[in-house]
Amino acid sequence: MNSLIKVENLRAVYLVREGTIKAADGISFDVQENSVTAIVGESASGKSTIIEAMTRTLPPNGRLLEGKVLYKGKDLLALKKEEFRRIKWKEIALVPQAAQQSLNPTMKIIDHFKDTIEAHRINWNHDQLIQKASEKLEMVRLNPDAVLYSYPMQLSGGMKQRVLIALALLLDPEVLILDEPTSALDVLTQAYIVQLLKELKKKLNITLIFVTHDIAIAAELADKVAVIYAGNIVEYNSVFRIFKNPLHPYTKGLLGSIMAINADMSKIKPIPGAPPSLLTPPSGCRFHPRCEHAMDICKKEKPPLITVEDGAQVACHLYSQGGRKDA
Amino acid sequence: MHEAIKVSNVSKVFSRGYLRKSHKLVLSGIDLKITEGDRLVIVGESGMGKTTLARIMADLEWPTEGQVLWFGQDIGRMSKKEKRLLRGSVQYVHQDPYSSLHPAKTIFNIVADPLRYAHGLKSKDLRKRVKELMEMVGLTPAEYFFNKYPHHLSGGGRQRLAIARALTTEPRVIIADEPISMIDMSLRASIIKLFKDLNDQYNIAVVLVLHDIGAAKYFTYEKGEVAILYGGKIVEKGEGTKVLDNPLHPYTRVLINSSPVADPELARNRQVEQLRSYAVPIRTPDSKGCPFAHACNYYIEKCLERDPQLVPVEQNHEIACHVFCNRDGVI
Repeated sequence: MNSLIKVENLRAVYLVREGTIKAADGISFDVQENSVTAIVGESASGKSTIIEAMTRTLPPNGRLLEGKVLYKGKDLLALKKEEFRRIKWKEIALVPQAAQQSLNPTMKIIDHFKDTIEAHRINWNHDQLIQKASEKLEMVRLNPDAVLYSYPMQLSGGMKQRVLIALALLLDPEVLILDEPTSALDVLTQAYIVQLLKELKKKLNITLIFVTHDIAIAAELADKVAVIYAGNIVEYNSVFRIFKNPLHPYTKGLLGSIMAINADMSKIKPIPGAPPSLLTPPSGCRFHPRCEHAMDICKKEKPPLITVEDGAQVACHLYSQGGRKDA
Repeated sequence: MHEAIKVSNVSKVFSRGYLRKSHKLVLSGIDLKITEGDRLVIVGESGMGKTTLARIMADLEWPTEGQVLWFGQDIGRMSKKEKRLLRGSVQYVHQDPYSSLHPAKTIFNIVADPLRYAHGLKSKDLRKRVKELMEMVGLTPAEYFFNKYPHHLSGGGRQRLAIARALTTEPRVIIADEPISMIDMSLRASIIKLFKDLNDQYNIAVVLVLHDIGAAKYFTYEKGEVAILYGGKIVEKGEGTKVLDNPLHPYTRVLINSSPVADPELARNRQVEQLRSYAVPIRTPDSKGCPFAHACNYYIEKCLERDPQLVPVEQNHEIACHVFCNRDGVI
């Protein structure tokens, strides 16, 4: 399989009054065609920043310092605005976070669809638009006749999320990027959206990249999982290996601390400490203050993301040369 | 064992609109109790009335009908003075630790102020007690935090501080509304663990309101009870392990069946049951029938007509369902 998107050494910061938040610090990963990639991390670990930097939607105080996002050989970050606009939505579509607030409360759903095609200069007449929009809404199991002429406030949280997915699918993109598709939804609605995304993936053969804080969602949906901790990828591996044989101490800790319904409750062990502030991240490996295997080198040197057995990638001194592999 | 809090036949109607003529039934006929030193989890999705129930238990909201008993006394009939004496024994921890702590007070004062007012502690004694409380909730070294502000703490740290503040009055019951929903993933288990430790070590009864079934299971797998709320009614309650390992009500089963599992193979192979509707039921005092009937896959004629009552199916395990209430009906 070819890699469709290649992210290389992405670094982005946010400027705030107190200093700079180093939210993405040298992020590199590949996304294969027709695969599902999950970016898993806690809040404020920089996972949304990666997506925002990739799609050039960083907020006004965000700054991209360096890095490349190669899509079919083109660097998305170096493209001219007009060239990027042609790729945006037609090839790469984004479902933003906070679905509840992403729709304009004063516009009917149909007008959101109309806005989208106007922004991308597509000449569909009204009937064509209705037909296309209905098709996409049916794909996310909404009744177009009821939904198209509703205002966002008339829809439930799960329905709004599905409208946004339909909107993202309108121009038949090849890549769909979703930022926290299930956060702020109830358990049942969450399961429903995950089920829906699974079906869409099968039906449309698209590449999905999604960000989540819930590693259990990744277990259900993803082929590959990138675990983010404090602005760094600490582990990038196939979903089965991440869950069966996690390598990085943070991944191990995270898996040991999640209270999934099928977990052995007596073995749940919280990770000590708290995630660091990205204003003043710890030196060396950013996980070392919470790590039970921390060595001297961890405080001084940042471990590079290296490839170990079976193509698994991990950023930990335990696995680099001179480190203990058995720990 | 004495009952710490008992809620009997509680209903709550919110009225709104011009002349308050639009009525919404948020809770109906709730019977629930927690004995001293026990654990209780109230599970439900948003809009099911679980926060209202927790607030009624804590006397922050008043029931339209029914009684709330604290340590055997009806709080609706208590005088102000009597209530003030008991008030400290039941403490409430709010959902969002980012807005429940005063941003301009130092961490020391957040814990110290209730001690000053309620117990009249001063100087050395005060310092000692604050230190003790902060150590109880795992904010160590306590002195390091004394002159800092809430914004120096992470979400987990803030929640610990809110719990320390709730402990100042030496409560016998702590009621916490969604204590982990605003907390980072890797810290959630540690907050639940803290509540378990408080329960074990100091024999404080703990009532948690949660939407996360996994967390509910983690909290109650050793001891404690679970009550599942749907549409303002308790649809299933009983011993934690019985309810969560062997759910009988169709709603509980869907809820458990839909909860995320941390195993890629299991997650891919399981069949998630689809409901007929995912809408939150809106009930009025005139509504009849089972609140879950509109979504349930097993509903029968009777479900639309008559409201099912909680009936025991085994020891310490009750469900409110016309279809599954007798053993023969279990599919």
